[in-house]
Amino acid sequence: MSSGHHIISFRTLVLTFSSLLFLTVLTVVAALFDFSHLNLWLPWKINLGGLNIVVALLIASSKAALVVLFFMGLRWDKPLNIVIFLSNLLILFIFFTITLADVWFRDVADPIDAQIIPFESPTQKVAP
Amino acid sequence: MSTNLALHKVGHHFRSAEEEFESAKLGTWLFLATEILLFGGLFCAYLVFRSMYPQAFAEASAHLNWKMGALNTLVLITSSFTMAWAVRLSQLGDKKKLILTLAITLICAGIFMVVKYFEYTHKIHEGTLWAGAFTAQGFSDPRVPTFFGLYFLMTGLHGLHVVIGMGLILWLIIKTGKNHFSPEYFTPVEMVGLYWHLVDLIWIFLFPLLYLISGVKL
Amino acid sequence: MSTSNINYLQEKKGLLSWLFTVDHKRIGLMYLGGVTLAFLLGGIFALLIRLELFSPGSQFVQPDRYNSLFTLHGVIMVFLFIIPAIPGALGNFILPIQLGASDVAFPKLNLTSFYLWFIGLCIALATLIMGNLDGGWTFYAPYTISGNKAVVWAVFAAFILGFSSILTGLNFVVTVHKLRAPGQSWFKLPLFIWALYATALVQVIATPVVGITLVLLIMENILKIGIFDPALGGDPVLFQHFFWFYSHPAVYIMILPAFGVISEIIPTFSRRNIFGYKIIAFSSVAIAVIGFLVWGHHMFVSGQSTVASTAFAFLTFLVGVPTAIKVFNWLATLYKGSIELKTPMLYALIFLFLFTIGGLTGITLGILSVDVHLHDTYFVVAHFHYVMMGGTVMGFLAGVHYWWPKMTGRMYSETWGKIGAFTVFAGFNLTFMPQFIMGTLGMPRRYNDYVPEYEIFHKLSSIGAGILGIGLFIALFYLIASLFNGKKAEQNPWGSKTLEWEEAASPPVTHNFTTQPVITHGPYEYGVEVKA
Repeated sequence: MSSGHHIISFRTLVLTFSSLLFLTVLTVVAALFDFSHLNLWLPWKINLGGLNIVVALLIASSKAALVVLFFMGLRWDKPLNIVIFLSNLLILFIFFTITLADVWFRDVADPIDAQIIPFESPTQKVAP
Repeated sequence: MSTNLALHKVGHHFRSAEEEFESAKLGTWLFLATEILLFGGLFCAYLVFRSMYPQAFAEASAHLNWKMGALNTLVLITSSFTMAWAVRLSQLGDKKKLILTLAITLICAGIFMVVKYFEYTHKIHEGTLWAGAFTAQGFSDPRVPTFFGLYFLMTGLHGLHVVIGMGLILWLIIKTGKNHFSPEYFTPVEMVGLYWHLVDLIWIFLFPLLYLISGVKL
Repeated sequence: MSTSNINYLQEKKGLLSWLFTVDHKRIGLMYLGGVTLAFLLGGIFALLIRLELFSPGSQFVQPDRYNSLFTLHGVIMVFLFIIPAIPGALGNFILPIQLGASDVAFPKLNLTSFYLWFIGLCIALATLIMGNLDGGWTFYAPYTISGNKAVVWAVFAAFILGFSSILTGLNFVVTVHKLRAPGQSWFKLPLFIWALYATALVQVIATPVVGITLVLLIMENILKIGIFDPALGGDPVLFQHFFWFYSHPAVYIMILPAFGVISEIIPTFSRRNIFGYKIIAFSSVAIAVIGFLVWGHHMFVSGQSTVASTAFAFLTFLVGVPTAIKVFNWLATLYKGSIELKTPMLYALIFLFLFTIGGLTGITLGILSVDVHLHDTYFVVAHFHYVMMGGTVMGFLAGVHYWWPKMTGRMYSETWGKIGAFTVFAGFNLTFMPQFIMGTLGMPRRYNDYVPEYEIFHKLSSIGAGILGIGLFIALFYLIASLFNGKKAEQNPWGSKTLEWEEAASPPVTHNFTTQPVITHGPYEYGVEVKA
C-alpha cells in the first residue's frame, strides 16, 4: 500500500516547524507596530484595522499554507484532495464577502432613517 | 516491529487496500471541509461585529493576555510537528518512537488546555464574559461583551475539538501498543493527524484575530 | 463478489440483522420506511392546517397553537422528510448498484447516518409534548431566543439531522470517486449518480453552516450569548444570513436528486437516449455551485442592504438557466420517443408540469421589486410547494414506483398506480393554484385567520388538500399491498439499460452482483436513433 504513497522526510518536518516558530514570533513582532493609519483603498466604513489585519492575516495564511502543504501533505497528494480544500476556501470567501456586502452597505443607496434604540449594555452601567 | 496484518482486514466492498486508504483520505479531507465551514460561520460573525464595533473589539482584546495566547500557539505548533512526525514513524513502522511522539502530542494538547483553563477561570472571576453574563467593571465601550461572546464561542468550540483530538490520540496510542499499525496499515494515524493539523490551523487564525487586535506592548 | 444467489432480504433474518446491518440496501429500506412515516406525520399537520383554514376565525385551534401547527409541519417536512428522502432511501439503495460497487465507501458510517436521523426523529417527536413550538421552521431571531424549551430541543434535533445529512453526502462523494466499476468513466455514469453527487457536495459544504447557526441559536437561548439578540448588541439579520446560507442550497439538496430520478425515467419510458447528457450532468453541478450565491433572495425585506439585494436578485435569475436547460433537454428526449405511460412515467410528466410552474414562480419572486409585495404571502407558499412537492415529492414517488420491483421484487397494480397519480395531480393543483391567486391578492402566510375576501380560495385549497391526501393514501395502500400479493417482478420489467436493471437481480443479492460487472456502454443507449 505504500506504493505511490509519499513519506514526508524528517528534514522537511523540521524545516517546516522552524519556519512556523519563526512566523509566530513575526506575528507578535508585527503586532508591535500600528499600520492602521494606512487604510488602503478600502471604503471608510470598513473598520477592520486597515493594514494591521492585512499583515496579521498574511502571516497567519503563510503559517497555514506551511501546515497544509507540508504537515498535511497536500504538496504531494492527489489533485482531488487539493481541489476539495481550495473550493472549500472559495465557498467560505463567498460567504464572508456577500454577508459583509450586506453589513457594510446597509445605508448606501437606500439611507436608513431609523432611530437607534438605546439598550442596556452591561458595560454602560459602569461607564467612567 | 511485528506487523499484525491479520488484525486489519480490508473491507469487502473495496477492491484493494490502496483503494481503502485513498477512500479514507478523501473522506477525511471532506470531513475537514465541514469543520472549516463550521468554524467559518464564527469567523464570519467575528468579521461582521469587528467591522461594526472596532473600538469595542480593540478595547476588549487588549484585556486578553497575549503572552498566554502566544504560548498556546507555540504549544500547538509543536504538537503539530510531533503529530506529523508520528505519522511518518507509523509509515516506517517504528512503534517505540511512534508512541513517544504521540505521547508528546498529547502532552502538548494537555498544556494547551491547562493554559485555557487559567484564561477562562480568570475571566469568570473578573466577569469579562458574553453579553448575557457580563459583570466586569472598568470598560467604556458598550459593545465589549459582544467581543467576549465571540471569544468564548470560538475558543470554546476550538477547545472542544482539542479535547476530542486528545481522545483520538490516546486511542491511537492504545492501538499502537496492541500492534495494530504497520507500514502496510497506518490509516488511522494519518487521518487523526490530518484532524489534528486542522485544530492547529484554526488556532493559527484565532491567535492574531482575538489576541492581537490592539497590538502588543512588551 | 458474492457467490450466493439468495437475495439481500432473505439472506439474514430477524430484527437484529436489520438494526445492525451495514448493507446499503437494507439501510435504504429503513430510510424509506422512516421518511414515509415522517411524511405522514408532516402531512397530518398539513391537513390540520387546511382544516383550520377552511373557514375564517378559529375553529379548532387557538392562534398560538396554530403557530405550532405550521412550525411542526415545516420542521418535519424539511428536516425529517424532504432532505433525507431521495438520497437516503433511493440513493442509498441504487447508487452503489448503478456504480457497479457492492456497497458505499463507508458502510458503518451509513448506518450511523441512519441512526442519527432516527435520533433526530425521536427528539422532534419529543418536542410535540414539550410546549408550544412556534416561530416557523425558519426559527428567526429574536422571536426564537426567549428561552422556549421546545424551540431549543427542536433546533437540537435539526442539528443532529444535519450531521446525518453531512455523513451521507460525504459517503456518496467518496463512493462515486473511488468505487466505480471498471469501464465506468464519468460520462458513462447514469444521470441519477451525477445528481446525487452534486447533491452530496452541497450536503457536505452547506450543512455545517446551519450546524453552527443552530448551535449559536441554542447558545443564545440558554446562555444569552448576544450574537443575534439586539438587546444584547447582536444582529438578528445575521441569523438570517447564516440560516439561509444553508437553507437555500438545501432546496437544491431537495430538488437535484429528483432531477436525477426524472433523468432516469424519461429515457427509459421514451426508449430514447437522453438529449444532451453532458449538459444535464454539468447543469447539476452548476446548480449546486450557483445555489450557494443566492441566499439573500429570502431576505429582500429583512433590512439587508439594497446593494446586496440587487446582487442576489441578479444571481437568482442566473440559477434559473441550468434548471431550464434540464427541462428543455427532458422535453427534447420525449420528442419522437416511444412513450410508455406507466406509473413512473406519469409521475415524471406530472413533475415536469408542476416543477416548471414552481420554477417560473421562483424567478418571479426573485425580482426584487415584485418580492417586496409578495414576500410572506401565499404566493411564496404556493411557489415552494410547487417546487418541493410538485417537484421533489413527485420525483420521489416516481423513483419509488420505478425502483419498487428492484427493491422488493414485486410489481404493484398498474391500474391503481394510475388512479393514484391522477388523484394526486388533481388534488395538488386544487390545493396550491388558488394559493398563488390569493397571495397576489395579499393573503399573508402563517396567519390562522383572514378576511372573507379570501374564503373561497381557502375552501378550494382545503378541499384540494383532502383529495391530495386521498391520492397519497391510495399510493401507500397499493404499494404495501404489493408486498403481499404483488406479481413477482422479473429482473428488468421496464427494459432499462442502466446497470442496476441489466446486471443485478430484482431484488439483488447481498453483495449486489454475482460477478464483477464491467461497463461497456452508456446508460441510455436505446435502439432509436438520436439526431442530436
